[in-house]
Amino acid sequence: MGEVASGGGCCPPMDLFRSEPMQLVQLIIPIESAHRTVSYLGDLGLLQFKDLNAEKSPFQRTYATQIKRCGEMARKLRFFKEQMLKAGVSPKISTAHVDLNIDDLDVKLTDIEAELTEMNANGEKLQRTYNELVEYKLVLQKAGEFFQSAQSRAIEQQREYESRQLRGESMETPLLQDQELLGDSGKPVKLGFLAGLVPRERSQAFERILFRATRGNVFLRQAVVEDPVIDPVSGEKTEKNVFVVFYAGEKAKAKILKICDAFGGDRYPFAEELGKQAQMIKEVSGRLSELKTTIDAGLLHRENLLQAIGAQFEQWNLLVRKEKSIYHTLNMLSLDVTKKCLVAEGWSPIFASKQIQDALERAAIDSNSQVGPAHHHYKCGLSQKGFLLVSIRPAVLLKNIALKVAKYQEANPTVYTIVTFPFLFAVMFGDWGHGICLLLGALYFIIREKKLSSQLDDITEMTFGGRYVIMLMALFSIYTGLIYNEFFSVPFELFGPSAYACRDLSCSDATISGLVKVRRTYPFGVDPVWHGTRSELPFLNSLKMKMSILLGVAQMNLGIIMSYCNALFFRSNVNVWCQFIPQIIFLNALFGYLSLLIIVKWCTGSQADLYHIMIYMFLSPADDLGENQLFVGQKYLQMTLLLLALIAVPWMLLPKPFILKKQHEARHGDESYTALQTTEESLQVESNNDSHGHEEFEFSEVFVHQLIHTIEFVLGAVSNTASYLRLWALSLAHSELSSVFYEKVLLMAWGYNNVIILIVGIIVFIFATVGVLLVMETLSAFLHALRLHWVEFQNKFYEGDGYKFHPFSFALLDEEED
Amino acid sequence: MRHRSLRSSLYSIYTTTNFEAQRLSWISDKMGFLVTTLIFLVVGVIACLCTRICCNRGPSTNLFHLTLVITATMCCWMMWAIVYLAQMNPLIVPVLNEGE
Repeated sequence: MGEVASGGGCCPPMDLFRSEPMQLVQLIIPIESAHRTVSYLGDLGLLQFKDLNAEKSPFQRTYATQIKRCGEMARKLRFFKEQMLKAGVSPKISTAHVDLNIDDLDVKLTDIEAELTEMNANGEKLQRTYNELVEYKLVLQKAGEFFQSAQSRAIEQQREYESRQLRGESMETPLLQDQELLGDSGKPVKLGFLAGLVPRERSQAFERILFRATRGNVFLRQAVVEDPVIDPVSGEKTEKNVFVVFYAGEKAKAKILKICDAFGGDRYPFAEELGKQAQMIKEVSGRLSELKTTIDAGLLHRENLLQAIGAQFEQWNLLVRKEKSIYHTLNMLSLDVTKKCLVAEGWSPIFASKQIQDALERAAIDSNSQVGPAHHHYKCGLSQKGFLLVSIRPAVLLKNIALKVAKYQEANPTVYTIVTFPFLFAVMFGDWGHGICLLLGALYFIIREKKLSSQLDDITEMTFGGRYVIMLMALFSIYTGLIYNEFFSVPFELFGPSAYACRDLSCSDATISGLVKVRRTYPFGVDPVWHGTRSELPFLNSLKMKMSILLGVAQMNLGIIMSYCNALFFRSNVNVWCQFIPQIIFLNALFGYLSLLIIVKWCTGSQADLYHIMIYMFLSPADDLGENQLFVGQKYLQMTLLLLALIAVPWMLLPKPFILKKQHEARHGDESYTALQTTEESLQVESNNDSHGHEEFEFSEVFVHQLIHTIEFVLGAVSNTASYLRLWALSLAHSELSSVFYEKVLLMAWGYNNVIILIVGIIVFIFATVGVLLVMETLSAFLHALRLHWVEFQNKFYEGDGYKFHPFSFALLDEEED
Repeated sequence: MRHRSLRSSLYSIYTTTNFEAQRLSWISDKMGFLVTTLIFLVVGVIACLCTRICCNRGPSTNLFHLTLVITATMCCWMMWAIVYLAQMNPLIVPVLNEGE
């Protein structure tokens, strides 16, 4: 079982038809070359490791610390990538292959990270200082203007006051004066002031609260700063106002300070003397330009560093991911008793054994180990994995077309489904106008493959993924559309004259008793005269129903023959004689015979009633057929077929369990003796049984299984055949919808002889066609055709309980990460 | 007398020609069926040869492509044959709608 058998010996085995023969390999690797071995096997990519330490938690495993280290390095690399993105540096794909040790890389990454963080911190500090200085400069400028204008006005008022005094008029005490000018007024008022910046949106509230808090005993002057200023704390540009607050007294100062801080206003020291102000401005400007150069130099340095990182980023990334996966794999190996080797188990295809051996030897040589690795093969039993090598285009086509992964080495239904699925879709969709639209859509997707593959949302992506299948569907739809003779429900006389004509020249009874067939049959497809007649539906219904039955019986027979191919491959005579033969006999005795009757009735043009024949074949088989006779000897044929069908049912049910039981007993000869032995010995025998293999034979289980299988097949023969009638139903729905849209929308709009109504009609027609027929009907027919395959076709032969082969391969790492 | 024999002879001529026409159309139906089946066969063989010539990629892929082409040809032929046979000896004839 499970050995390679070429199909029939005449033709080469087809890769897609069955999975690759696999083997279970056991490798014994010395510890010093373990890392290198796994690395080479990862490059090879043809071995799937089995997890031998499944019961251990991630922290108990041998290489947990190394994985943590790799995780740390991955985190550092992510940090670098973030920084590079922020600075706008993109990692380049470098061709130079630098051989890096993972430990060196670790040290290097740590260094670079430290440097980068320090640079960032410094940069931020410098930037903040720069912003503060910018604000300070603004304060100096604007507040300077206040003081100048205030001073000039004060001087004016002083002069006025003096002149008024000289003139002897009433005194007006100016409210506020600069400290210097106070001079000899005699009042011991000490005025202080604060200068700074406050965000513009808060300036009103700031003013009001200041006023209230100090009971109006402050004077606030604000000046608008035209350009937005970068706030040192938040780093964002905000609009600010420069303010100067004059106050008297310490309490007021404390209050004002608190309010200032609450409003996020920044205060800067300000000197009153004009000379000092000018000096401060010069100083600040000098410092600003210094800082600017420093910051620019810092940014340049950082960018250089990031560029250097970018050149090697991809390599480092790949190396870290590889290391991580290698350590994960090493964690799956179990440590030998002597603690000097690791034991690995895995599955690989048989054709890869030489390559695996080479990889092992190379690793042993390269790591200078004393001991070479060892490996054993075991052939696989039926429960192991399936592995299909497919090239890219069929892979795109075949993704999920069979729903389940094939069991190891059973026949793959995909081979036929690639053609029959679009074909059954087309039977339900048949209209060559719609087919052409579908083809254009599919071709658009295929031609713009490269461009579209990245930028799609979910639903379009699904449609895009199936573009080749949709193209096949469209091609078959054009074919069936030509056969049904429907172009947006309009028939054409493309292949010759119609076969029908009026009985006589006046066509008087064409609407009563109809036309007659005067010429040979219309050579390709449905005669164009049928469309729009009163007897169109009875004719087409009869045709399509019978066609569905014929196609269904053909596909189900194909399914049963595939089960025969499987039985032949697995050398299972039981399945051939006790399953395949009675199944074929049963299905064909009933529904194959029905198909035969349909064809004979068509060929002879007899008026026999097929319902009647089939039903009375069961109810009273010995009766004379009378006018339902289609050919000579029909009665005897029917009786024979009925008898065969009746025999086939117990033939499917009974022999197989007994034969399997006999086979099992032949293999494990002495089991009937265990009941006689004592408890201890029987326990021993039981453990022997378990180690032997995986088969315990419960006769009742097998019998029930076979019973279910038989009932399912017998009842399924009727229900599956009837299920194929959905081909008729959907085809009818499609043609009726199409005809309604054409006649009731387009033709009616045409009938009004008005351009606007015509345009509206055309638009409605297009939307209805695209929305209902091209989208909804396509999805509907797609779904039903798929269901016919997955249920009615595949339940004849497909088990589909296999696993996909997932080898340890570095090439697959990229796909996983993304 | 002459009148009746004239009518009966006309009638017999009519039925004979009708019968002959029917026989002729039946024969040409069968010929049409066979000829078109042959055409499908030839087209299938040509398609197989084309795929073998255009994409010759190793024995198993060749077999795969061959299977696909044969299956497609079989499906197409089956559908055409069913529709053709159904129309060869019709039991229902088209009855036109009023106003055509």
